[in-house]
Amino acid sequence: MTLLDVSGLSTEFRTDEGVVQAVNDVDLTVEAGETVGIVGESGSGKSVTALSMLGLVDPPGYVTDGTVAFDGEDLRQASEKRLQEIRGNDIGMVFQDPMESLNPVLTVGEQIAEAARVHDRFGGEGVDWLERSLLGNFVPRRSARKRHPKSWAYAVEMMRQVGIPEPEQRATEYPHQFSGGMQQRAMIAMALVCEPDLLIADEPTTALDVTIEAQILDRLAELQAERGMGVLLITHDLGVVVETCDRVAVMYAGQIVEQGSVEDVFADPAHPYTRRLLDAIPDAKRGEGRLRAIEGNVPDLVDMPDACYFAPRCPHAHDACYEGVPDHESVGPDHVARCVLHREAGALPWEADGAGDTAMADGGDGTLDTEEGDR
Amino acid sequence: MSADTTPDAGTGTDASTDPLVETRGLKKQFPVESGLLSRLLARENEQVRAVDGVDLAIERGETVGLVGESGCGKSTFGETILGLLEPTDGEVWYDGERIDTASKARMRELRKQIQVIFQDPSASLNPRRRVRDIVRRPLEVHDIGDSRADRNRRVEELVERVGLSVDQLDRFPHEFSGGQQQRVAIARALAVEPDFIVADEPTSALDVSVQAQILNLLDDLQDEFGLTFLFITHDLSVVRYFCDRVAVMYLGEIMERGTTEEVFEHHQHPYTDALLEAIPTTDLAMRGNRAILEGDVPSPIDPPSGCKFRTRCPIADEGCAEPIEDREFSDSQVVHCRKRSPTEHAGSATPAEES
Repeated sequence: MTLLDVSGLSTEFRTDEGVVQAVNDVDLTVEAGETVGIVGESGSGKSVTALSMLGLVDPPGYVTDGTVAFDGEDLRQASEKRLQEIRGNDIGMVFQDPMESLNPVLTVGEQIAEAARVHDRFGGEGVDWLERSLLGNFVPRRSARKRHPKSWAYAVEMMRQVGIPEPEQRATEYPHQFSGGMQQRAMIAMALVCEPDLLIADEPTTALDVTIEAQILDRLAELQAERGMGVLLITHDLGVVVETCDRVAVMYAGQIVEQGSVEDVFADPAHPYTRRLLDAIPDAKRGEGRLRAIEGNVPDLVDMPDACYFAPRCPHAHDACYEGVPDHESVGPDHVARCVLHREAGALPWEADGAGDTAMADGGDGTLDTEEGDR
Repeated sequence: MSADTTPDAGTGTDASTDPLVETRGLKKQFPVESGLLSRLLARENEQVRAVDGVDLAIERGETVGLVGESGCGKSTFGETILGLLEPTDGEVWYDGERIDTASKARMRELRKQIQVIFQDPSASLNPRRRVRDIVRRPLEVHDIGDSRADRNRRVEELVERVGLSVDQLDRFPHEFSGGQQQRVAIARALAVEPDFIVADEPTSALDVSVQAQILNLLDDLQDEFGLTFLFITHDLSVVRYFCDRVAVMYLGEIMERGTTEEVFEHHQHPYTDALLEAIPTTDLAMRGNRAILEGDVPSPIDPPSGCKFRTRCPIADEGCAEPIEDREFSDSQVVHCRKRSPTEHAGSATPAEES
């Protein structure tokens, strides 16, 4: 069953310097029980894509086009009230920096319990009008455990499920008493409170050390399997994608440039950007020798030309690449790439002529795309 | 090029077989801020033991990678070597000279030879200065070059050398991308023609495609100028590409050190095993089969006795709570673990069986 079906989603930011097309004609699906990765470098539009789906883009950002069908319902047409019901209830979210997302003056248990109360999971323990109003700030909160025993017990249980040791004790502690890994577990517990069908995790482990990252990703995968959730995982780390995802969408300059199963995309990447991105990653388990850098810089998204966005950095670029933005072309079952060369992809030399050793020369040319014109 | 900037060439030649930089039992502790009450009661101050007895030698022309997770003390170690922090105990030697006790004036001279590149270039470049001024500043401070024109010429050479163009010199840092800003920071560090550079997470703030450019640049510059690097990073993959030798740090102590080959292919310390295991890899064949280290890093205020890793170690036993010694596995490989011994694993490429 297709849980989430995004089609033609576009978001722009109307800034003083011009219109930034942050998300450009994005098509994406997430099936129930499936993990889909959105991977890209900073500024590629992966986070804005997620925010756009949920109606969380604020001016100067505007979602300009596309449909976001969640469980058959178009979220773009939904009212704000309806979206609030869906967010947290049907779609859970985990963001990168847990310290930014947690309230420093409430205990962790209370915050997780509150997530359950907001959506009124336990009759009689919901958040009432008094608490929602400004006066709510003056309601004494100390006895949360006694006032909302069911929600509290549930929060403790959720903390146990995400792997926080001694949850009864830890629930009474404040976020600053938690390590980064434990904070992120608490965030995941909070996102899972209402048993969402879809979890959107935006760089959930980027702020964490590798040993802790491995623990969190592992736990997340277990929880997903238990609950049959769909997961949309946003990350810049291709390694994380391989470890956790079933399918992957590679984003560059606001567009999905390649999409397919992790096996297909990583074993036989069809887009030159994907290929070179994979090549640029140092690999502790293999690699020696020299890294192959991608020349130039990620382009500024103001007033992009009507051409392949990767062409200025692409070793295989030729005239056809500058004749309009390439469409998604099928390169295999459930594997698409936005590249005019997609058919020859396998036959192209992995490394373009003399492009391997370009750390020097490229700094200069790369700036042409980004620095000139707009500034 | 190092000869003309070294003020006391005498010690330089004498000590040329010694390591360029050496720390002996280096410790750095920070007092935990305590409330008025406990201070009045004259309670003993708790200390964060950020660096807890590190011996590390860096030979001329080599790159030593110092890796560890956040909070392990690797940056504190770098700052202590640079003289930005005063060590609590231990010694820092540079080119046969003890520098942790050196005078301020002497330290200032030494900064001509010892330079630093920080993690976040947007924070380490003055936003109100043009790139030309930023790169020229060290030349003025150390009175290098005969005239303003001469200095400007050197600035232009440097900027071109790091892959920027001369017509970008009159721009401000915010007009550059992260990778270009880091190139400016590298040009500034190179301006005084240093011998030794501490690079503290120089590519952590950059995207992978740009990271590769910067790493390749540093590699070229090292060959060209004969630089010695201490490369501090949390990213083991970067180390493998860039470093000759590696030291793995955990809670202020070096757990294992050796050549890059030894640490990556014949690693012996259970922590190194775990760290390497935890890195997500793009290799499809390695998918989904990794052992995951349990638990969190303990607090450096009250670290475990004996081996600091024992609370998370899969092979630790009671004996690990006793003080433990470094053990030499080869001329270059030293492992801080009592459970693994050189004879058992001699010649084996795979790390020990975990029991």
